[in-house]
Amino acid sequence: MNYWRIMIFKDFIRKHVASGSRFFIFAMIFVSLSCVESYSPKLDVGEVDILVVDGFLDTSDSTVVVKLSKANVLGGDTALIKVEHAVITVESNEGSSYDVVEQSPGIYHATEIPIDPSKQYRVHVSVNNAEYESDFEGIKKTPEIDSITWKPGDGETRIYVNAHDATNSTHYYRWDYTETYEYNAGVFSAYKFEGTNVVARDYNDYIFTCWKTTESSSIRINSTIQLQSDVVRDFNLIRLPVGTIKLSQRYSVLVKQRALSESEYDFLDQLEKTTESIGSLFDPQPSQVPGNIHSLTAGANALGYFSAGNSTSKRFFLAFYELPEALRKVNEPYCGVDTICVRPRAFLCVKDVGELDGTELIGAGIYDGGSLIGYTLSYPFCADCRTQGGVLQKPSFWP
Amino acid sequence: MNYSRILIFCCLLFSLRSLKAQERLTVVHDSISFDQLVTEIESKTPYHFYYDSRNTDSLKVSVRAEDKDLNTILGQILSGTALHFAIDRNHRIFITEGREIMTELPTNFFGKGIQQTQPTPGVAFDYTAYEKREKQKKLIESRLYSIGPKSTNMQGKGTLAGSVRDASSGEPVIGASVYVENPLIGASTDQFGYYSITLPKGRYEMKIKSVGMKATVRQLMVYADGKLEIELDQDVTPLKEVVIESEKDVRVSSVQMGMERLDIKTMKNMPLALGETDIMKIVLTLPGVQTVGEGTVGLNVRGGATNQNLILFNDAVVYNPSHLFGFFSTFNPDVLKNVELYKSGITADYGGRLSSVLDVTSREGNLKKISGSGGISPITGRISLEGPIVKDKTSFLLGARTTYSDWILGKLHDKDLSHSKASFFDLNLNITHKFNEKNSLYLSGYMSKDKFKLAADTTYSYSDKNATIKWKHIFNNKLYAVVTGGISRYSYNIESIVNPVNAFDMGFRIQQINGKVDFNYYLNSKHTITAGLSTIRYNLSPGNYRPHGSESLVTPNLLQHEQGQESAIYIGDNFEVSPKLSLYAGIRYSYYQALGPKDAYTYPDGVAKTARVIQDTLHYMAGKSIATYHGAEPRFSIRYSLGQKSSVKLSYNRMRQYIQMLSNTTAITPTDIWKLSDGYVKPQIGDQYSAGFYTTLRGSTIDISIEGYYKMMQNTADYKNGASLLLNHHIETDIVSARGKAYGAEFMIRKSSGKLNGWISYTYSRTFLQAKSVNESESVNHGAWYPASYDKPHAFNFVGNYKISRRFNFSLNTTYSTGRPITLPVATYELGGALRLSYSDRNHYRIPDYFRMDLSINIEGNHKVKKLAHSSWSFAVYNLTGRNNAYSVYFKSENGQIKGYKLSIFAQPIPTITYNFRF
Repeated sequence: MNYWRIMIFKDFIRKHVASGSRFFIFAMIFVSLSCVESYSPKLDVGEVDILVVDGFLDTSDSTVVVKLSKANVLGGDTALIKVEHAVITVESNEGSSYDVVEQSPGIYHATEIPIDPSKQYRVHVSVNNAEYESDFEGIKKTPEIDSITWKPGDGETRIYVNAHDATNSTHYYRWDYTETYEYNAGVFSAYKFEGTNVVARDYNDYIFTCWKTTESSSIRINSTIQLQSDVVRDFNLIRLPVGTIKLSQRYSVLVKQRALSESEYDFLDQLEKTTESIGSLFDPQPSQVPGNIHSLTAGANALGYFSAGNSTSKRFFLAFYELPEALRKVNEPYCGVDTICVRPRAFLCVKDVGELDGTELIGAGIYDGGSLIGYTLSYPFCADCRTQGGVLQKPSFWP
Repeated sequence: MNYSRILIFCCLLFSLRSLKAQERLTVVHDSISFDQLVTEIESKTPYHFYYDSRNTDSLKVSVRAEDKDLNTILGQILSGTALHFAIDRNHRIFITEGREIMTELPTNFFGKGIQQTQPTPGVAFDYTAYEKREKQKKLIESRLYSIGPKSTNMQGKGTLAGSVRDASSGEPVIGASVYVENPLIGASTDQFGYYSITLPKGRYEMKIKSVGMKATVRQLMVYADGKLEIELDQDVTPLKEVVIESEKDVRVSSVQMGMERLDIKTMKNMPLALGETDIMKIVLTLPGVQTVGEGTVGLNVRGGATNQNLILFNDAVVYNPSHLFGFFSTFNPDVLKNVELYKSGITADYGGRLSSVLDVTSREGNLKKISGSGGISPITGRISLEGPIVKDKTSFLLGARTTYSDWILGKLHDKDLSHSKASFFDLNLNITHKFNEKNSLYLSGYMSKDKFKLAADTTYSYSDKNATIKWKHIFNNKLYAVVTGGISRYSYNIESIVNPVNAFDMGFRIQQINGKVDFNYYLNSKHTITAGLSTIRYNLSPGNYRPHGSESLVTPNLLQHEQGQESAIYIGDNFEVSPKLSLYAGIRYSYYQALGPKDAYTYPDGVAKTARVIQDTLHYMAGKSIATYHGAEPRFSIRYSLGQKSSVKLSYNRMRQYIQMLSNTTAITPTDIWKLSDGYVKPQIGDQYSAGFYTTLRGSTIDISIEGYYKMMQNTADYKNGASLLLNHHIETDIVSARGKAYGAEFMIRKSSGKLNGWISYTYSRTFLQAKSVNESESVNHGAWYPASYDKPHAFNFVGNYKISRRFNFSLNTTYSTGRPITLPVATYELGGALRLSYSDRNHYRIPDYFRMDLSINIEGNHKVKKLAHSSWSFAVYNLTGRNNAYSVYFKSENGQIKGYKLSIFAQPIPTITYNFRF
């Protein structure tokens, strides 16, 4: 994969007068190129044995969730290797300890932990004859999200988040979000097969409108430590390019906000720098971002973070018709329709109804002077909205 | 033409025979008219003058001749004028302009008959200005110069001193060799073109050679101490196949090792990137000099970091020698004179950096006439103007260069690019004034500025400014002193205004004011002693973060200023023990103090320094010493000749560096910060041992050198994983102290003359660092030795010039090196629902090898000497093979997948055309 940036300065012609009467004319073409290619280096590592700990103590419902997994060799299988049968405890800095038990493979839970916001907590993991421990983490209270707003941008719609902490103590913010959007299939399917018969669909059978939900995976953090007051104004959380299917009908996002400690902010900032925003000219050299989990056993390695706190959330809606004219576009997949005939080869049909194998979907009927002579034919990726990952069930919060 | 030749021969044959005028007479006058002199001579002798008074009516002559023959008297009077004389047997003296009348046929004109008369220069009928100068040169070369008052006591020695200047511009010639062959005694001119040579009294033929100049000789009779000013003609053949000529002896015979001198003419012949002669790129073709990547100016010399090079421009320190991310260097090729790079055997007069000294010198400006030059390439335009302010006394040189890339970027259709901005300029001004023979003053000013904005909203700008004043005083033939004062300032600024709430300005500034006195004492023919003292005051503002605009909520964040004072005293002796053995021994003692006002944090012993464990804050008052470091820096070199053509050299030097650049990016970037040594950041100390063998083949046209070195470095800075260097109030918590070792061997074969000339070099070098601490977070790779990020074991360079004709010249440059080390991700893991990367040990892997080939063709205009403007075209292709050399390799998590990418900057052949002119 090669993409070139080409700058050609054509007609770069200048007249240059020297020594009174002589003219020098020159034309110059300058081509400057830079190029990004995919690259897969040969690695000389055999096996990696690194335990990854992802733990969170949620003060709002007094629960702890710890996920244990193992790192994969780069370029090999990326399937998550869950780590089972670990013995996990959460400990406070005053000595109390609570067991966290395995609920499903690799996922450990504890509930009803008496939480004292003035204390600090850490996680202790014992698995495969090795011991691991996190640093003690304090509990930070997360302020409410003030508002979620949007503005049309240059070829995109931008979603912003605003928050503040009147006590001037939050300073480090993280947002995760869950997007849900309503969209339609390219072709409305009014009929369906029942056996080999074509019958009209019920309202409940329509496969035209779907809702899809996606979780954010990128790290979105912001710090107000440089500001005089603890105010996040217009932090651009999401950019939706013009024509995206997310805004084709109605779009909603649930933003979860969490206050971070300085060290967790640093950890996420490093994690983001070394895995997301790299590739520019002035990037720092990447390096391992270990987090606050340490191995207590020689030879064992661990990565990850254990944190404590609560999150606040707010939901936001935006409908297609609210967009300005310039952004009111939808890039729909190409959905040509074929025709099929009810009676064999009654007119220019690709197939007859009897020749279909049932995987096709039927669009609308074709009538000739009141009598049905055929149907428009489409395929699931055009006519079944579920093929694009959505579900037919309207979410409860949808207006 | 032929017709006139025959005619003249006939005339000569029948009417004129040469005669040696035997009559002796005494003529003593201060400035009388030529006519008066003629009258006097005609009255005292039987001779009669024939001349055109139009040629002589403005001529005033001074003559001091006692009991001399007429030939000598006339020679004395007319030297330095365009007039010639000829005497025939009929006591007629012909004074002609431009050409000499030959009063007899050349010896052996008819192939037989040996006439033992005074040799007369052969007659050339097509006298161009060039040949006229040649003739004059011959005249001067055959004249015997008496040094000191004539005496009969020929015991003891005499010291001859003076300067070597360019005859056409009056500028000093640096690094010219001045020597006699029997016994072999030599000297070379210093940065002022000044030389001093002590010879046993007697008769000598002294040779003078220099890069790009015609070699000449002077016949000397040394009676006592005296002065001799020497003018050299430029090698007018603009095809520089002989430019390195004078260096060929120097490499073998000089005690200096590990030094490369490049003349601007050599550099102008090399292939260009982006249409400009770039000294930094040319220096990179020398063995032992490497860079981490394309489009960066940082040099890594013999395993040194990019901040360990002392880059001097006319004695002022340049902190960032690059324009546009290093695509250009900040030195305007039109004002440059030469570049010297010292890799080892650094003499005691230089100090302050560990790895190398890159001494860039600009020209002084033409003392004789106004002239200028310039060039236009697709990206840049440059012009320079020079000339006398007071003829032969004061000259100026003004150079300016800028880019029109802003204008070009604006024309582009690509939105990212047309919103980008990139501009730079640099300015140079030199003024030289000669008060008298003993006192000269040199003023030099330099400024460069860059500003760029890459699609995004953040504008970066940086600027280097410096000025120096230098006064040279000659006490006597043996001793002179130079007093230098200067100021250098480097600053950068980052400005972001897109979101009014977060709009900010961030600035960094370093300033140094320095003063020094250097003495040069030519004790005798065996000893040259240099000594001096210097002091530098540093003022550093490591970061200043301010709100921009009234809406901005940004809290100002001002990092404490840093102050430091670095002083040094040195003495060195160049001792020629015997013609075979010479040595240099020097010592420098440097003393550094980090000074208040400053608040310094204290940390408990034994634990890793982090912001969380800060114990206390100590306040130091203004001028109070926070930390003091000092130490001796011995320097030693020795040369032993193995016959006329070969020599071996050894050297040792220790360097101390009290200022370091902090950067955890691989290349020098505009946002790198400098840090003065303080209580936590100790000065870097480097020791280098090197040995070399030098020989010449085929009548000194090919020289071969082999040098090896071993180097140890203490207290070099490396960084903790994920260090944050900008606006860090306790930067010591992110730095780890490392030690380093580097070793290598450099081979070079250079052919310096002939139609085909150039060099081939191969370097094997390794550089390792070790950061070991009881605290794991302050160790790198668990305390093991690891390759530095500029460790590139194999490097090969070929630079070749081929002269097709007098006007066409073709050159090719090929570079290969091992890819630099890199830290690669080795594993993936899931955290927070996304795939993340786990990295290898630091610098465990390497990026792909680097290879590049460049080509350039220079086409000169015609060689008529009298022309309004001389012009030349350069056509060059950078990266001829279009190889996608990796600038960086990186990995990104995209849609749940980890993808590796390789970024190449110049990934396609880049042709450029440059038009150069001078007038």
